[in-house]
Amino acid sequence: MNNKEFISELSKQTNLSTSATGKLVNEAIKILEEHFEQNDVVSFSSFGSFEVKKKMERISVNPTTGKRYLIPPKLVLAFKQSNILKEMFNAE
Amino acid sequence: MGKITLTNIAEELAHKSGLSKDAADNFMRAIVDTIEKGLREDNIVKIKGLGTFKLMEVSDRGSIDVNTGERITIKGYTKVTFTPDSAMKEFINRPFAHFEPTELNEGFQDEELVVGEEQATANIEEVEEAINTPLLVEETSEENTENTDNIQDAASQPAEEKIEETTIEPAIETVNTDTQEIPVLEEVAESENIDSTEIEAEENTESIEIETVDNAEETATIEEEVVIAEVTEPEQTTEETSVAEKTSEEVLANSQPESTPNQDLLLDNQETAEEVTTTIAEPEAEETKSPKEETEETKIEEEKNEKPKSKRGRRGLGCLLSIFIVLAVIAVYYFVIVPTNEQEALSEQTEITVNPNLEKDLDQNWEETTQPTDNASTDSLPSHNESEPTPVESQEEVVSSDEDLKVDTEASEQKSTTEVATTITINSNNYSIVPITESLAAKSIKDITIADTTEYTIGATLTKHELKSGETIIQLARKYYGDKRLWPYIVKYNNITDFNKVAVGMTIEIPVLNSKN
Repeated sequence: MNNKEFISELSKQTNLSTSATGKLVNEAIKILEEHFEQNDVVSFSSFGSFEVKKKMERISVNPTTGKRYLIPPKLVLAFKQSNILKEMFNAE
Repeated sequence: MGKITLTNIAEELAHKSGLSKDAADNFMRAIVDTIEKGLREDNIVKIKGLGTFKLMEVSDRGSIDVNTGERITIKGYTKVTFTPDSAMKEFINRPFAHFEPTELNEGFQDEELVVGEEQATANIEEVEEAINTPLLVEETSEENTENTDNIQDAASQPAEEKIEETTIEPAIETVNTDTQEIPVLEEVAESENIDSTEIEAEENTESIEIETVDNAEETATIEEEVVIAEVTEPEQTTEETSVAEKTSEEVLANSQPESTPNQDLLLDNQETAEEVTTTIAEPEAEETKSPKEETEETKIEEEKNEKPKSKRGRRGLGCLLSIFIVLAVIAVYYFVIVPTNEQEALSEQTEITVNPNLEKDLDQNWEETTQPTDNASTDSLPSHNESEPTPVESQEEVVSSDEDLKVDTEASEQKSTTEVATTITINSNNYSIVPITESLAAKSIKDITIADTTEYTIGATLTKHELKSGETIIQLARKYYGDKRLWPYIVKYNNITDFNKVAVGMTIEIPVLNSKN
């Protein structure tokens, strides 16, 4: 299911036009981003939680050239599924 | 930073989009539901601006129950994974966006490696030190290290000397080992002869060059032995590493002649040869205060002060070499000591030799204050003698500190004689010392055993102990008396000839010890 299909499916569920749904989805994502920026943990009960995590810097070696690189620290968005979601897909 | 729920998001969405709170809440729930539905149908949901949700199969895997230790299999399951899309990724990582992977240069690697090597050698040094100051000497050596670093090093030197002897013969027969020292000392005297004659020749002509080169080569071959027995240096600060550091410094001094041209060799040998005279002359000069000696000293010092500069420059070259040689020395050390169980006997002997070294140290400090720039050359001094030179020096100090009559007579001789005469007195000095130290060492060994027996008298049998595998007499002493130093009583009471060779199953009678005090 790609973005287009997702929007159309969502518009069916909410009885909104696809363009309106698209706008709302973008709005929602912007709100999420704002929270991620503040290091908030955004959790949807029954689905999972999003959290920004910091990966520490590390030294990595290029296996072909043997050169050593210092990989800088970075922030990544991590998702952890809830138990409900897990059970939903493992019930069968 | 806090926990944000779906309703919080819905409220904000309602505020932004103008929807009612309920509608926004429903919309958010619809999003989640749609994602779940999409996952169920297609196993993948892509949302632009957010990322991709995907179902991943996690296969079965084996594990071990933490409590029971049994092998268990964790059943495979389906997992929802999320990968943020590139726009989201970049947005999240915005605070660290300016960082980029940097290639590490060679210098960084080298630095790391060097650090590792240093740590390794430091560890070895610690171990070596633990061997140098074992069991019996513990208390005394600790005190000494508190006083000065030099003493400790000096203490380890005799220990090193004794190792070879004790491996040849059991520790109880230490009287015999003393006789072994005699040829060594004579050798030293001879080698000093050579050195002192070199001084004369050198003052007259420079034809000595070939001889000194030979000498340097010889010293290189016996480096390993000599290094251990060399004189101390005051620069060291840390007590733990002082021993090894000093040896390395001294190795450095030794290795320098190898890597430098002949002229340098000549210089080195000149220096050391001069050192021989000064170190010998100084204690005497200290007592006699003869003007001739003092002027001679100052003359030599002037000469020396010009040389160290070039020497220090060569220090860096020998640094790596010295590390390897130190390692080699340690290896030899281990082969000699570890298999034998004679550390106790060894340490006892070191205990004896500490006192002369104390005095020696004092004298050395005096030397060092008068010749602060010549530490390196003083260290390299003994390397040019072909046998262990420290005994000679320490003996000299013993003699001087005891204010032996012989020294006085020699000193008076020196007053009236020229430099040539001094070399003669040096020789006579060495020979006259030999019997003194012999008797001194023997006496001090006796002192220890006598001192121990005078403290306690051996009474009746307390218990009998059957030796098990791995037990030693010293352990028994510790077990029954609470003091491992009392092992000689057990040895004596059981008439054990060699306490290192006791059989498993042997019945040892433990005597009652009555303190005389």
